[in-house]
Amino acid sequence: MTTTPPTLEYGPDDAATPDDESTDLLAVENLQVQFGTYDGPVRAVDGVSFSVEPGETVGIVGESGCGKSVTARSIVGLQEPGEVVGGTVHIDGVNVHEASDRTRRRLRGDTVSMVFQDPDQTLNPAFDVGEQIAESLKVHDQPERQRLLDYLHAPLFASRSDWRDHRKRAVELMAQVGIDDPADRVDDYPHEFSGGMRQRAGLAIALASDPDLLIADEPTTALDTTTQAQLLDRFRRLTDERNMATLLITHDLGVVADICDRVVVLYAGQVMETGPTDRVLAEPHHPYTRALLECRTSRAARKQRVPTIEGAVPDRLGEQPGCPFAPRCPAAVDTCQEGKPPTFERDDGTVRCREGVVFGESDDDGGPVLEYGCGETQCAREDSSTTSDTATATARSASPPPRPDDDTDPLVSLEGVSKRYQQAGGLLRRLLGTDRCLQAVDDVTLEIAAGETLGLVGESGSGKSTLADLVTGLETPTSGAVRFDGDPVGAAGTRTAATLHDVGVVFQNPRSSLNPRLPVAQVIAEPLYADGWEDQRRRDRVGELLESVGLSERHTERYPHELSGGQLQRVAIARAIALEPRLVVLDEPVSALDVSVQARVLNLLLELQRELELTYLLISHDLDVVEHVSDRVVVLSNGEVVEAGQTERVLAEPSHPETAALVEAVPRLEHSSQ
Amino acid sequence: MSVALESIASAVGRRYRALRTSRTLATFCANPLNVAGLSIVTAITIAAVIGPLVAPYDPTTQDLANRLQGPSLAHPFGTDQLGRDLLSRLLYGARLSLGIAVAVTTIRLVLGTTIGLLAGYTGGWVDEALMRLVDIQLAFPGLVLALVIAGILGPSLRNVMLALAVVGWASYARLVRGTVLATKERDFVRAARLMNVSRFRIATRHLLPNVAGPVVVLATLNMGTVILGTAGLSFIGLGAQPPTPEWGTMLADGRHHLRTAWWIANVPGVAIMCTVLGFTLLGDGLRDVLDPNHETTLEKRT
Repeated sequence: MTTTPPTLEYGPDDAATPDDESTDLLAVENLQVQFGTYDGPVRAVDGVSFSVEPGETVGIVGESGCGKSVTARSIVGLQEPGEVVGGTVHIDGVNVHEASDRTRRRLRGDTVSMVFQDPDQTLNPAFDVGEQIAESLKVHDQPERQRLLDYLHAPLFASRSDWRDHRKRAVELMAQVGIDDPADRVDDYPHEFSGGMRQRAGLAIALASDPDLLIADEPTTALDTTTQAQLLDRFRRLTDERNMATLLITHDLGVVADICDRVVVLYAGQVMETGPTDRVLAEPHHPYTRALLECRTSRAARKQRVPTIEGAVPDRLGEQPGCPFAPRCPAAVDTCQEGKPPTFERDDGTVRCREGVVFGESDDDGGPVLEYGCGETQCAREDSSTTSDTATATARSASPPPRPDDDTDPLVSLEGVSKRYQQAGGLLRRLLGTDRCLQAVDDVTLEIAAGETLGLVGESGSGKSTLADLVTGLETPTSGAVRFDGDPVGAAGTRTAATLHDVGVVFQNPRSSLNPRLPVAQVIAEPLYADGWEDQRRRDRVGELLESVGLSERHTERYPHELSGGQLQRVAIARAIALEPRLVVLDEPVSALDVSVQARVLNLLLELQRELELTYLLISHDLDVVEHVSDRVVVLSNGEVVEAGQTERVLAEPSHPETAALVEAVPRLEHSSQ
Repeated sequence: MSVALESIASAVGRRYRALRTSRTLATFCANPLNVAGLSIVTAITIAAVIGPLVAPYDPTTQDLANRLQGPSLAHPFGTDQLGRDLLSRLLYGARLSLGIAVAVTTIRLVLGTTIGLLAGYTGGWVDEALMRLVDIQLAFPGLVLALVIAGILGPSLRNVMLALAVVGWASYARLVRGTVLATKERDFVRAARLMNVSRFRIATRHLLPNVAGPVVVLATLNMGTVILGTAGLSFIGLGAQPPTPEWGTMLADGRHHLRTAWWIANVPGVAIMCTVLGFTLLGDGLRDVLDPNHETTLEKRT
């Protein structure tokens, strides 16, 4: 780590008086950001303090709604529509919020860069990627000159050499962030790039100004696991090479373990715990950090209940005394509800909690007096400390899954199913026979036995969702047959009502899978209505269903936008099981959810399977989830089945390189200790 | 019976709660122009509804002794060339104008939405055929076509209504079809298909409510144009015939007396302007709050 004080490149400026704390590249001191809402100001960031030294990688973790992104954006002065009401942010000794617009722009151009979460929205669809990277270079070199002609690839004669030079450097940057054939891709438009490529381009734009600090807001959340692994690897290498400090915002503790030196745990806009990654993940002091770690599925035994954090992140409206986590904290005592929890300075970080809770009332070191989320049912807390290998071993005896006997008929079978999509089919091309086809699913044969859970994994674009659509009947196979109970079934429109009732579906994004204009009760009653149930019977069944998915009666009249993501997914599950289907197709059921919510939904799914003897077809790119829930795994690559078998066997000793790559790509906490 | 009552009560309660806590409503009221538009429209609606009850005179009774009287206490807006009270005529006229606007817009809306929904949801050659029909309709200049239709059918208010309704539905069809195409790919429609929900029910219950927002905006903005169109056609003598107290006819009557009795032409003119302005402001306001992009930002809790 270099200790050379960062040099100020700007001239004397109104606010540019470096103070004595200038060893920190970034110093956030008691930052407070509010959002004015209809109900009054919401304190999104409530007194956050932390610092980043040059060359250091710091992770900010927490559930969604904890103020992570707002913190990150406030650092560069992009807190709109929020308002900074207190505290200071110093970058390189410059107070960001008091600096003039000009200084702030310089800071953003030279010292700080940002990578955003959604790669679909960070790039301007109207200009090619090379130009957007070149723009960043150009702004860095000559902040005052930006010309439309340059974008149109028709620079003025005088600036032609500059323009060419910038494009050359853009190509170099694209190579650095790992875009293959950068010289060919430089002229491509964002829509010609895949999600991972776009995120790399975003990274290249951020790196173009050669920043001292890179702020990355959930840079890999929208990507699949393999791409995430590649990108994280790239991050690590670039930050090392350039000795660049990184502030990484993420909800994934695995990602943190992978690349961060230090962690800042945020909850409800307050810093709960800070410390070196290894220490925080291995022996967290704060109950919230511990709870976050516990609810990771990789820590629990297979098919067993995952410990959860009950409740949700509160909206910080008005003044509330006490620790914000107290209502959900398993270790909370009465005094937690009053006053502000003290912050303890430890030699390697800080903890903001009441002393007795943090260090345990008793003196014995190893076991703090805590019980987590194990309230009602059997809890896998004992297993959570064991490594994942032994956990999978014990799980076999712990839960006897309804193992299909070999002689029973499978519930669903796919025989040589293929699905091709026509691409860019013009009349001329059709006549010439040069149609391009996309082979989404290619000759897939597989069986799903009654009562089992089949996990379908693969990179994005490997045909997982298409395969699910073929099973449900939303798509018809180009060739091959889908059989249900041995009878071939076609598209949803041609299936009998009974066959349709046998299949329930839960989609990935609960917000788009529920009609925003119908209240919850009617959403759930929709399949019942279609089946011709009369009013009273429908109402009773909806009540039953709500209870079985853990929603209360008062949710019936709510509209989808009034519910949280986890609650919405529960509603979607209730709708899927309304007509007592035998097969439920789960298309990425938890990937849009927070870790703690994810754990709760998975628990619910496992419970329902036990109670209703459901068969699951689970599609997920998250191997932890698949490993936790499924009996068998099928690995898809480019529409073909490359490997299939018992979950523990496939994931422990993958025989196909594709599977091995998938397994390898999962960021695990265990890596950090190596 | 009690079950039905209960469900109605719960639905009302739900609506009320949704309205009370609605950020949409708060956003709408935050802009004074929106509130102004809403007030104008409300005022005119009230005037149209209770007009006959409060109108001091009969709108068609002539009183030649008091013709061309300026505004006074007895006749707040003065009298016209036949001695009829302008205020009374204006109030009755509001009824006519608003009634025609509502009727024409409803016909356009129902026709256009049905065609758009059918085209967007069915797809294929049905879509193709219906959309070409829309193209043909849009290719004609609206008011001129209305003029021709009204001319062929003969001058009367009913024919004006028909003419205006026939020329205006295509924009609704376009709008609805576009929204339906986007909505029908969403997961909840796919889920409904898998739940064996009938096509009719998917169209009416899942697609229709989700296209309602932009349609309502278009309809509100359209009300103003329809009022203008009716007044215009009546002004040139194709619409309402004397002595019907229609704003366009009143305007036409007044233009002969502009020098001697300015109020005869100005009173209905200002009324038309205010009404159109009110509907336009209201429509703009609704567009701001019902815009789908806007809605998502309101819905999301961050």
